[in-house]
Amino acid sequence: MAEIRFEHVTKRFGNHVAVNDLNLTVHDRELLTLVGPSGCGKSTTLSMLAGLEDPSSGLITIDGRVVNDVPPGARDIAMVFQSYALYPHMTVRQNIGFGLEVRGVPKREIERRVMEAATILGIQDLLDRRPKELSGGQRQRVALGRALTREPKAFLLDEPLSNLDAQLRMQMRAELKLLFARVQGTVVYVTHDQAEAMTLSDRIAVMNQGVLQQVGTPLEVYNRPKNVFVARFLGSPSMNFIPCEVCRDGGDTYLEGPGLRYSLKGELRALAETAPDRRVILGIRPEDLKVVPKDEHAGLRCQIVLIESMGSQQFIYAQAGNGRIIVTTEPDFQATVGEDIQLALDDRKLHLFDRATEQNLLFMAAGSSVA
Amino acid sequence: MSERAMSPAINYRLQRHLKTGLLYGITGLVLIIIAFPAYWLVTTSVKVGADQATYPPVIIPTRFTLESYEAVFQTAGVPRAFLNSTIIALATTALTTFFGSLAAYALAKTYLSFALRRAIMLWILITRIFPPITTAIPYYVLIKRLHLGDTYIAVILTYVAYGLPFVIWLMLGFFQDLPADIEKAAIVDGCSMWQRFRRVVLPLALPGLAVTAIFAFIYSWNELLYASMLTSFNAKTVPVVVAGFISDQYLRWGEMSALGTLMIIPVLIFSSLAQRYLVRGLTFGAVKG
Repeated sequence: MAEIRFEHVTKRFGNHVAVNDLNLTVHDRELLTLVGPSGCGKSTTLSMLAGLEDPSSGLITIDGRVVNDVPPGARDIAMVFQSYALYPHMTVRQNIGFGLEVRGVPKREIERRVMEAATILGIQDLLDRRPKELSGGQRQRVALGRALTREPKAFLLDEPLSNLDAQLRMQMRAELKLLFARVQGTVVYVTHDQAEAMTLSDRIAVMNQGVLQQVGTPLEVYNRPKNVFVARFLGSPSMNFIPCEVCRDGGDTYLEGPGLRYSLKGELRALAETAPDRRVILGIRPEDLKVVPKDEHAGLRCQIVLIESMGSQQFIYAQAGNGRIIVTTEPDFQATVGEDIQLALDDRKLHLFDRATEQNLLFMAAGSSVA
Repeated sequence: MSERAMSPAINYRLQRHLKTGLLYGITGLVLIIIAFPAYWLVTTSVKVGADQATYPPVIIPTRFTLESYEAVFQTAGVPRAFLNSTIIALATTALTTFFGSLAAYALAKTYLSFALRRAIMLWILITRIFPPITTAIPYYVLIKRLHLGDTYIAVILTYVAYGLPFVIWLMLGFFQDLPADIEKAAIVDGCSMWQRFRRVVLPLALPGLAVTAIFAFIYSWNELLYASMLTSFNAKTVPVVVAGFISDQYLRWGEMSALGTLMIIPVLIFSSLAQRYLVRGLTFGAVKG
């Protein structure tokens, strides 16, 4: 297994910069997820690692060896495609063993490794079928099997679950996690699904418009998002953002925004005061807001406009000034549309972003780096 | 009231019947137009001499004979011509589909600007744009100078040159339609370009290959102009023998029809063999669920 490094990697297609000065290290035996909206450069990054695209500049190393000029077949990586890309004219057995056959592995060894992968994936009974006779989930397993038998230095997975239905996707997500814990491989996993990224990864790398935004463990990235983009992208429903001013009244410092006047103390106050022009964006996750009796002063006043019951929880959409707020509540929380409510904030769960740069003030004060 | 309510419904039903009838009528007419020459060929081959070319024509023969077939089998050089035609058609088919698909694959997978690709594709087609007769004489001279007159090679080379543009154009579409991910998977699996072509791309393009092979076979099997010009005895093909039944003194309709009918049989055999690969949707199941 191997460590993978991207050093100042840039990829241009004509005038379009798909990946911009990427610096990223994937540690040995780590599952790193590249996540971001479509067109953010994550798949291009994976293609460059696989050797299917050449970087315009920069270096890519696998296990300390620069692979920029190494053809894909010689990089010792295996890839699982979103479309599975199984060979339709071959049986499952031939599909799984094909990579080994091309490499001249002896027949008996191929058979052994195919059986081993098939047993791990539970597809021993399907070995003599062709891809068109398989369901989506089974094809997915065959595609994984094809990667597993190769025993490569790294596994590259390009949105492997996005063609499956919601239920199967959750099931496969859990299976993938168990599988990669078992084979202990270095895995680079590309997805646009933040839930997959959060649940599967050892670390997440969030990308947007070709630029790496933040790298960290799922909880680091979720709890300390580096900027508004990362904060908005991770978490469902998305984080609430309220444009605010940092105001002073005598000795008191508070945040003032639509439906909000919130007194700041301690660390948060110190942080708010670092905002360059006192104009900030307050970020609060829906689950960090709590509905409290109306007579309490602190917090956010708003009016309920819509209630969505999800069974296990409830999403309340509320209007605060001209902004929209989403709150997650217990499923049995009683509320009616049109009702005024008061939401309590928790100092430890608030995120402050500079309004001009949309950077988290925490990182701006520290003089940030991505990783 | 009820009459007024009924009449549009009747009208509609009548219209529908009329439309269906018309559709069947037109289909039938087209079928007759297509099938009639074959019917005429086969029936003429078994008509007695007096019924073969008479006015008014005998559309449904009542008297049958196999005299024309006997005459054909007694004609010198017929078995040899069949052997020649078979060798030439099979070789032409194999060479055009092989080189044509290689060229088409290269064109499909090379990054070319739109204008350049178009120019290349047009250039390839250009050999098919002018009528073959326009190049016949220089071609004849060329073959003579190369001392290739009346050889298989001369005929096969000519047919391959004429067949290639068609194969390239047809196969290009098939290759461009193959899912890109399958080839990427083969690349990551470590295939060289040749392995990719032979092990992955070609098997998936089999339906296209079958179509082009059928067309290439039919073309080289039936070609007359170059065959009559380039061959005299050794490499003489069946169409040239058929044409031999026409002279300034006679027109042997019976023999021509009998040999024509016999000529259809190998084409039918080849087509039905190739047709097995015309399985639609072979790539289904490769990508997506």
